[in-house]
Amino acid sequence: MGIGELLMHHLPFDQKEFTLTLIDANEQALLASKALFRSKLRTFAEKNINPLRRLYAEEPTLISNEEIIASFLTRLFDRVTFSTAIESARTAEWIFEAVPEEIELKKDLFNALRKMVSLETLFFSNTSAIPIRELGERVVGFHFYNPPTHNKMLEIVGGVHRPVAEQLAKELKRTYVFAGDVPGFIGNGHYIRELRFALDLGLPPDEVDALYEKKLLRPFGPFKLAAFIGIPTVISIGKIMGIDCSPLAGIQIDPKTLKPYRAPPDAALDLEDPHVVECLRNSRNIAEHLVESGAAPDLAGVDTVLTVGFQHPYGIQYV
Amino acid sequence: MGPGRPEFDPKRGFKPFEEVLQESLDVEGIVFDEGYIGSFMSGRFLNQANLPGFLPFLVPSLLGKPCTGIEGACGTGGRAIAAGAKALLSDLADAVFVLGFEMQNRVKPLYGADILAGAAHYSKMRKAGHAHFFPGLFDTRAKAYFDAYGKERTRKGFAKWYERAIVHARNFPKSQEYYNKNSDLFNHALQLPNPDLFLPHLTVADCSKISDGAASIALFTEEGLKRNSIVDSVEIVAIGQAQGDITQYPENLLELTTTKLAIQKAFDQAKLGIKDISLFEVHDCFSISGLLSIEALGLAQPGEAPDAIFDELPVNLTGGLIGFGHPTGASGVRQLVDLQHHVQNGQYGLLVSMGGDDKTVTCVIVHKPH
Repeated sequence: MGIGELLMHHLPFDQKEFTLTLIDANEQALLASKALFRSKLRTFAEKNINPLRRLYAEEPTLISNEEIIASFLTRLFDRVTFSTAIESARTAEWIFEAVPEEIELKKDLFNALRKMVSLETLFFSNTSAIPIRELGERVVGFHFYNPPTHNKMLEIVGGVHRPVAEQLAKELKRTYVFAGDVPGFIGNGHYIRELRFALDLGLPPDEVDALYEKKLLRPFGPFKLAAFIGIPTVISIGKIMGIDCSPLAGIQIDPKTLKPYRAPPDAALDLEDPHVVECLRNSRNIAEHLVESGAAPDLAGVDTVLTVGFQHPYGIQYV
Repeated sequence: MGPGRPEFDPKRGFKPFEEVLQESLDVEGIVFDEGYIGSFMSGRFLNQANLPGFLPFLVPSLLGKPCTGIEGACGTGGRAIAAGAKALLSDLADAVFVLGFEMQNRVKPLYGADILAGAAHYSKMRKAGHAHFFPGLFDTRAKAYFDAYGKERTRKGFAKWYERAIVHARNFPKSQEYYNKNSDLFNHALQLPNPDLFLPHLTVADCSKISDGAASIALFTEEGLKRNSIVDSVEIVAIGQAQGDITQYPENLLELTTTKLAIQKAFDQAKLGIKDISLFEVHDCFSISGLLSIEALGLAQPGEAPDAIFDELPVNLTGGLIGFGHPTGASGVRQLVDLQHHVQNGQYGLLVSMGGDDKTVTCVIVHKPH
């Protein structure tokens, strides 16, 4: 639903004629999203009151901030439909898929959609790991990083309708990289492998996390990040990539307590520390593997995903 | 009360405004003949009008007496004092109760801006105005002042005004900025304006606070003082009132012309000049209006206020509108209360209560006898 929120934030200001349908099988989740969007979009409108006042400058009956904001929200929500029925996608020109990371679930969904939509309809999948070719025709990987309203990273995967995907990425003000259609792409391609390396260190998870945070200056150590993403999701992604992350199931970290580590501004990598060097070399090895396997176009692409998507304070290090 | 005070927490709801009015009272035992109650926009902020009805609730001796509501935007307080004084001068009353109040924090500032925009000619001006309408008006005056007299020195004058306001507010527990612990006020106020977030020429430090508050005072004839056995009082020696035309833009952005006129009328009535006044309460709804008020008073020549403010001027001892706070309907009355508390024996004090962009102005001069 973060994608829906992002789309609602961006499209109206382009003054394009559009309608947006948000579909979730779970009615409770749908209603909760509606309420959340109303409140978040009001906050968005309040923050952008000056551009909004300019947008409505030629409308004489919209005078006060409340009138302008209320009108903006009404006009926006008039274009948005919330539905639990997949048939609501029938007339769509573009369909964004963001269901859980299960190959069969996604395949079934795309097959069902293909039966009802026109031949011109284009599909965008938010999968972070499943090869796009497994999802059938007319699908481009369009992987947003969470939360899309704050994290600008986007991986575009596959050659299908790439120019359309790229144009949309620009309009949504994304930082995008073209990733190869290899399981895990670039982001998870790096993270899951690094997580496996972290598991192999044989140290207690909190020690490993402390190493990655305090010494490698990452916002989250690998195990905390797994808890943040959701351990079952991470294990699933590992399976898709053929990397066993099942030992994670035994780790207890409460995601609600997680706060990103903020390194002091003058913090530097301690290159005298052999653990630090070992981790940095591992990270570089993974990056080189990603380029060799075709997941990443080049090392600069890996750097972009790590710094923008994963908020590492630095890219690949050569030590 | 408002943002800046630790006990201010909109999530926990608001004290009933009637309680806030009661807290302003210090008139135990006095028998009043008339009452005046002023608020700028209680009809919108609180959905409450018919304000005279609250006077007998607050002051039992006003039950059955003439009670009147007063409105003059942020200059409501000054006009309420003037109306009260007129009742005394008419011989129809010997003891008059005057109260001003405003509760602005029940709405978010962005929406409050449209309510406050009613102090200008809303139907003609609001649409084209800034999201934060009133700061936008004075932003225009600030720009004109920068262009005429120099941006850097004027901004330093603004910063000094802000610093003074907070330093003074720190001496008075009721001030909205009493808890402001910033150790570098001057540089805080010197931060560059951000036109994307707020305005091109003013920052938030240049603006008076968004406040909830009430102030009240008792006015008497000599007969009224005797009747109520009051020995300690301050005398109102002059009231100058002037009205500008709200449909007209200011003639001169570099001058508060109506304010100057109200001040001159007060001086003429009292047969006094600027040199006779020891204590001032000016209407610093914005730092620029504070500086322009200094010039309107004659405490500095046009263009000189940014430098004059670096001297120790006896202005706004409890912080003014920027430091003490600006519950719009209350400020004029609060200014008179502060003059009454702080003017020394033999001294004259002066207040300027201004409504809108130099439209509805009242100047009151007081004297504390030896």
